[in-house]
This record gives sequence, structure tokens and C-alpha cells, in this order.
Amino acid sequence: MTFIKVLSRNKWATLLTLVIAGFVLSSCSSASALAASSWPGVRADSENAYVAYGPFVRAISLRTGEEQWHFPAEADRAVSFYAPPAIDEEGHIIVGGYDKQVYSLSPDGLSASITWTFDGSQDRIIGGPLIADGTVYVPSADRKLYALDLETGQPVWAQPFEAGHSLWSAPLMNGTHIYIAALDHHVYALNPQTGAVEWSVDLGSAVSDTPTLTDGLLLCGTFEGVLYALDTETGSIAWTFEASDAIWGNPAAEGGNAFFADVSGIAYSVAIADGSMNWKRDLPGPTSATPAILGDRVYFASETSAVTALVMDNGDPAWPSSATLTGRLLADPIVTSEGLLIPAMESECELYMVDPDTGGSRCLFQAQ
Amino acid sequence: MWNTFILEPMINALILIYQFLGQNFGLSILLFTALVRLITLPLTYQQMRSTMVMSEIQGSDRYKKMQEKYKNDKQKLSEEQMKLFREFGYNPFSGCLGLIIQFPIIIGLYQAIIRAMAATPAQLFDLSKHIYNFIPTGLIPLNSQFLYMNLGQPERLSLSFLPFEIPVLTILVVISTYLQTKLTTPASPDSQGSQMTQMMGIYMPLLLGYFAYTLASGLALYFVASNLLGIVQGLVMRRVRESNAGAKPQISKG
Repeated sequence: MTFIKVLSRNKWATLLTLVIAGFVLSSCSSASALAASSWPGVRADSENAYVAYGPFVRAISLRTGEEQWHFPAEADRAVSFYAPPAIDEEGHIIVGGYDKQVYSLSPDGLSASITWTFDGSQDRIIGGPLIADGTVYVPSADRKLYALDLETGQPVWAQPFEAGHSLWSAPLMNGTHIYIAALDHHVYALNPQTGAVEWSVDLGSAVSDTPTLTDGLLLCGTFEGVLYALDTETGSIAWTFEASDAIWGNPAAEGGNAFFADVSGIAYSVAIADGSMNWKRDLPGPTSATPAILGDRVYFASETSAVTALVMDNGDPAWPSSATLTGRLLADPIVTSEGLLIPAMESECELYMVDPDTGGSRCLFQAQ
Repeated sequence: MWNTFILEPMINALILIYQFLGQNFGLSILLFTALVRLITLPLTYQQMRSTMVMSEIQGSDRYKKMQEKYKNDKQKLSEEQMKLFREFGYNPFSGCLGLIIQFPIIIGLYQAIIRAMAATPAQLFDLSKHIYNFIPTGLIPLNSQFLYMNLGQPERLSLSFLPFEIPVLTILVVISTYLQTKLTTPASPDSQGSQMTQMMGIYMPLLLGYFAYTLASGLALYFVASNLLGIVQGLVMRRVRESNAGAKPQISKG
């Protein structure tokens, strides 16, 4: 009798195994490839945080945490947003989606209307756009940087600039050049009017985050764990600093010093003048975010739900212990008028507001 | 445990193959799939052999007569079946065991390909934590361009003279999955088994076809490669069994 059961089960066991495999594959997929999720892309002005995360771009009041509007009005499976929106003082809101579209939005009641769209990108928009001098510069995973007219969305350059690999970082501008770091290991300086390459430097490994522009230098952290300081005019390497692990989040600069952390969770302070190290400290976990600076403190968000405040001068802890939130804190913390804004990934609370003095926290916004 | 012993070795092996093949991720997936199938060949062989032997036994006159004769005496039927299995060297557990041992390897391979493609910043950040120190950091992120496809995106072939796009890999996945399912689950004589075979023949191609249509094309490439290798393996085994059939005991004798 036992073997009759085994016999009949044998084929059923095969089917069952395959069905389980299907569900496992399916669940793996939804967690990574299908959902294609990443951390929230966030910008803030004096009143609102603009959060691109999943199916919506939302404007959230910094004071009350109330949602002012969201776009699109209804969730669409084909549309999702993770690139930090670009905002300016004139009220322009530009956001790129994983649906390859670039949207210019205008708040309209509880949602936002579309002023224009650009559909020329062949791949997702992962890096945040930049608004400068009436032009919006949009990096795309299709390797191209598009320059669009801010009012109409029409291309400004005859041809978009094309790198050798995807563009995941946001472009920067210093008046004379547009700078963009690519996953092809290069940093490019472009002519803002034409998109022509003025100079480029091969750093040997990918730069995934937006470089930091300070004191005539461009600070770029690489996957190889090297922080490069490049001359903004020529691209020549002024100095390098070797960290213990890959550098994802680029430095925050203040008072002649740069502050950053590597992926293994070590925070550094280096002198911008020559790259010499001032101090280094262990953080509670892996770190991908650029730190925030307020007053005499530098704030690091770690993947392990912790926010750490260090004194800029010596790296000593500014709070008795790190603030513990929820979720993965991989996005950059932002200094706002209401405190330290901390976006959280894979958390019920999407936005935390942390008191920069005490480390006390409250959930600012929780998606329904 | 899973990451240390299954996932990370697979991810790093995949990246090393990528480096060896001139940073072509499409070829890396094909070669890696072939290597994994080669390593698991003894298990697959055992499973397929078991399925074929069982199918032959169930299709034999002796088995059918036995079912009829002892339909009211399950104990006796079980004993007679055991005798028959012993004659043909069939172990009812061997097929299951092979499949169960293969299962984590298949899932690991699938996850390794997904992780290595790292199509978003969060995925790339996660990948960076799984890479061994001796892997050159310059290789990351991998170049996902292969032929006309971006392996991190669902595949569609766009032809200038057609107003629509063709999901070529999806079509290949559905066809190759159907063929492989047909080949590895031979028709069963009893109605229960036949129903199950039919279900598998429909369910698996549609499920994998849906994955191929909606997910990164690197996965679809893996499905196609894995299916084609499975089909070749099944055909070879069937041919070998047919050529050796004369040397086996005759099942039909009563």
C-alpha cells in the first residue's frame, strides 16, 4: 500500500515541486525584477517634500505630513518613479519615470496635471533631472543625457550626449560645464549649450552617485573604494583617498572638509585641500547615502535603520546613541526647515522627521 | 546559509565567466546555464530515467493486468508492484530525490542571474555586498547589452515594417518549455496521470512565458537555454534507452 501511494505521489510530487518552483520564482521576481524597486527619490523645498517612490510622486507637507497631491491620480502598473524630482523656485516640477517618460507637472487639486512629457528615452530614468538656465537635463539608463526646454520639453541639443553605460546619477552644473558621472567609469564635463564633451576622465570603476561640486573640485566616490578629487576645469586628478570599501554615496562638503561613508559602514572626514584624513568612525551598518550637514554636525543614514549624528570637527557622537527607525535607510537624508528628513525603503513609514538636536523621531508620512 | 553556500558562489562564478567571455553577459548566462546543467547531469539523468522507466512499466500489459486482477486487494497489488519494480531496477524515490536536490540549484541559478543583472540602484547596492574581494570592481555593473537586447529589460523585437513589437524570447520560452515538458513527462496510461501531464504541458509553458514576457530578458534567455539543453538531454536519453531496449527484460510478458 505504501508503495502504491509513493507511486501515485511520485508524479504528483513532480508536479507539486514544479508548482512550488513557479511560486518561488514568481515571488523572487516580484521582489526584484518585476517590481524593479529601489529607494525613494526625494527633494524638498521650504514647505513640501517631493517623493518619487513606486507608483506615485507625492508632495508631502513638511510640517504636518499631509499629502498635498499625488501623481498620477490612479496607480498604473506600467508607471513607477524612483528618481528624485527636480524642482525650482518658479514651481517647475520635473520627474522621470521607470516607464521611460519625463513629466513636467503642475499641481492641480489633489493630483497634478501634465504640462508636457518627453518620450525620447529608450530606458528608465533613474538619476534625478537638473533644472538650470531654462533647461532641464535628464540622465537616462539608455546611456544618454537629454537637454530639454524647461517650458516645452523639446530637445535643446542637436543630439543627446551618449556615454558608454547607463547614467544613474544626476547631472551638476557650475555655470560653465555640465558634469555627469556614468556607470562606464567615466566622469564627463559637457558644454551646456551643445552637449559636446569638454573633458572626460576614466576613474577605473563605476561612479553610481552624483558627484559633489565644491571649491573648484569634483569629488567622486567609486566602486573601487577610491574618492577622487577632479579639477572642474581640466578634469585632472588633484588627489585621491582610499576607503576600506566601495563608495556609493558621495561626500557632503562643509568648512573645507568632505564627509562620506563607504558601503561597509565606515564614515570618513577628509580635507578638501589635499585629501588627508581627519578622522574615521564605524557606523551601525552599510551606507549608500550622502550624509547631511547641519550646524556643526554631520548625519549619516545606514541601511540598518539607524541615523547617526557625528560632530564634524572630531567625529565624536553627537547623540548618546544612533536613532533607530524602520526599513532600509538607503536614500540621502535631507535637511529641512522642520528637521532632518529621512526617507525609508521597505518600511511602513516612508518619511521620518528626525530632531537634529536630540535624535528623536516621528513618522512624517505613511502611505495608505 | 543560502547566500553563503548557494547564491554568492553562483553570483561570483557568473561574474568570473562574464570576465572570461569578454564581458558579454548574454554569453555568460548561456555558458553558466550549460555548466550548471552539466554539474547536475547525474541528478537529472536519474530523474529522467526514473520517469521513463515508470512510464514503461505503467504502459505494460503486465502492469495493467495486475491492476485489474488485484483491484480489490491493495496489499497484494502493492506486493506485486514491488516485485515488478525490483525486476526493472526502479526505485520510486529516486526520481523525487533528484528533483528535490536540483531544486535549490535551479532557484540559486535563477536568483544569481537576477542579482547579477542589478537593474536598479538598490539591486546594485545589494549586489556589491555579495561580491568576493578578488572580483575586479571594474566589472560592476555588468554590461547587460546582448545582440539587440537589454538583458535587464523585457525583450521585444521591433521591425521597421511591422506596426507592433514581437516578443521573440517569450515565444521561444513557451515553445521550448512545452517541448521539454512533453519530453520529460511521457504520456501516462492512467487517467489521473494523464490529466496531470496535460496540466503540466499547459501550466508550465504559460507560467514561464508570462515570466519571460514581463521580466528581464536575461531570465528569458536562461529559460530558453535551460529548456534547449533539457530537450537535447531528453532526446539523447530516449535514444539510448531505445537502443538498449533489446537487452532489457520484456515488460509485456504476463
